[in-house]
Amino acid sequence: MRRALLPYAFVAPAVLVMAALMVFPMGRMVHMSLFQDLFSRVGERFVGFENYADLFQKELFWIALANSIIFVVASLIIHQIVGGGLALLLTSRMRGSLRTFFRAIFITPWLIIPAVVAITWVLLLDHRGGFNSMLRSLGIVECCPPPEWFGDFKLAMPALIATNGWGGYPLTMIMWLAGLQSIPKDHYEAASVDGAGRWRRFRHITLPAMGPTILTILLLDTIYTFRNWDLPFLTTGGGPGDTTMVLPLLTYREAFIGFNFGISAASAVMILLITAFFVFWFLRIRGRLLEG
Amino acid sequence: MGGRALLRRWPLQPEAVIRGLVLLVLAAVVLYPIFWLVTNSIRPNGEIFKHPAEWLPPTPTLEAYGKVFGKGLWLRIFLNSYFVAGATTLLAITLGALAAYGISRFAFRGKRLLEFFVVGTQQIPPVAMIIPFFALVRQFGLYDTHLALIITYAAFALPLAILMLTTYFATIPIELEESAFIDGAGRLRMLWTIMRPLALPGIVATGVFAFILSFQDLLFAVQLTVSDDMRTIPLGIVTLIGQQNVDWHQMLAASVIASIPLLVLYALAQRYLVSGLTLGAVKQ
Repeated sequence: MRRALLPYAFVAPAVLVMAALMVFPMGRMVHMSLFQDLFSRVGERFVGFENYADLFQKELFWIALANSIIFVVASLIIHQIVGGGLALLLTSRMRGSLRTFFRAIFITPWLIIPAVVAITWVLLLDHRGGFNSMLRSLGIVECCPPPEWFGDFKLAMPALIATNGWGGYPLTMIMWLAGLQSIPKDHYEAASVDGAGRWRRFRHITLPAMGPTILTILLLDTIYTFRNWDLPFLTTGGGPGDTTMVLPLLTYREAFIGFNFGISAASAVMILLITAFFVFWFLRIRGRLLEG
Repeated sequence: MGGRALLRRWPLQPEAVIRGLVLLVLAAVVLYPIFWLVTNSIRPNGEIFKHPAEWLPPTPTLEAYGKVFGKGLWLRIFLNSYFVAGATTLLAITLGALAAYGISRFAFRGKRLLEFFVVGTQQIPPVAMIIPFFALVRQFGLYDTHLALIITYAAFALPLAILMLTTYFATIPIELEESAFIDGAGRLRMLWTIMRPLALPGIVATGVFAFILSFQDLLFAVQLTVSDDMRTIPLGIVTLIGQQNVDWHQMLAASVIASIPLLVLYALAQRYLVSGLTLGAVKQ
């Protein structure tokens, strides 16, 4: 009897903490999404799916959804190209000390606190900031006044994506590096003997071996980018004119500025559902890839 | 100079030279924002937006750093962040290692369900639960305490910690424990004396992740604390923006100081980080 219970004793503390602090509040959020007048003196009242109906009728929800998708897709592309490219460069033949040195340099953005990343980029991309000053010195931007990147209707989203691209590529790079390390060296040696060039080795050995890893990275990166609240909150706050409004920001704003807790909860549930959809979709592709 | 001797000693192929140059250029691009941050923190106040901007400040000054270090509140804020992140790391590693040991060393009913639970909780977005979380914390009288932050961050660090440690523990041969078992060692002692040293890279990598997660968070810090001396670093920096006449200068200096601990942590742990991750994060 005691022996049979032993494994449960080992996992119980972690499971209890996670259940109390993640699953329970999450369940409560789903519950809240079905009520109105939450935390009010008249008392909460059950409204069914009315909050969802209200949410879907808001034009801002669809804007935020579209912005979130643009933000995620563009960020992921940058992360894969920069992170994956750097990982490949770092695994090519070079001195160990040189590799350690460059790896440390390319990881630094990951180690900078998002609040600091946001502030640095806000000041750097200010219309009087360092980036514009550099463009003016190089004669690229002649016009006065130079652009206010985060305050421009067309440039705010690209600026936000660039900021997140800079802050987020190292995690992709680290996971690429870890994945590349687990490819057996003799695969490459055999290919070299066969006279395969660099492109063919990449195409026929690296890419197939990295397939599942890349999917795992894409999955995690989608989840992390989709839920990113700090960067949009601190750089643009959703503006100008909702051009960078994303779902986490909408959820936050409905709750803490609009005090529409029910609608905020519905919006939170949408984030959860969309995340779950991505997870299942990626896992299916990954499963197919591992079979084939 | 002995150029030829150098060539013989270090046979540089043109390809390696080009690769080195590409890496250097990319490194410069990636480091530019950090360079900008650091050089502006030592510029005299008010010169941040000067045009044309010199690459290096002609009259560097540590005035802003004096302002930050001269304030007792900032020291308090730095200590708060180390304390919260350190406690989070310890808690996440302890609970994570216990759970990972249970999963990797026992067969039990509900194990698949548990693994599904762990992977599932990892997908929960923090922003999607902030309101009930706030209510929960108030209910338990933990509002505006560091304990609330510590258990919150630990909970969010746990799924990844369990996944990474489970895969790492699984690579350690079980025979090592069997001999200790014959000697009469209990399970907890085996976890401490056998698994801990052998799984060190995985444990360090997990710890770094937990530390960074806690050290970087703003969302929960904003929601769960209110008084000045409970602030953590991200909140301390952001609070400066809210004031009238933002003191950018002081903010940049605080940002630089705030960034150093994680860089040092990486430098200390990097040997373990990649090997710990190779087994941990990718193969989940």
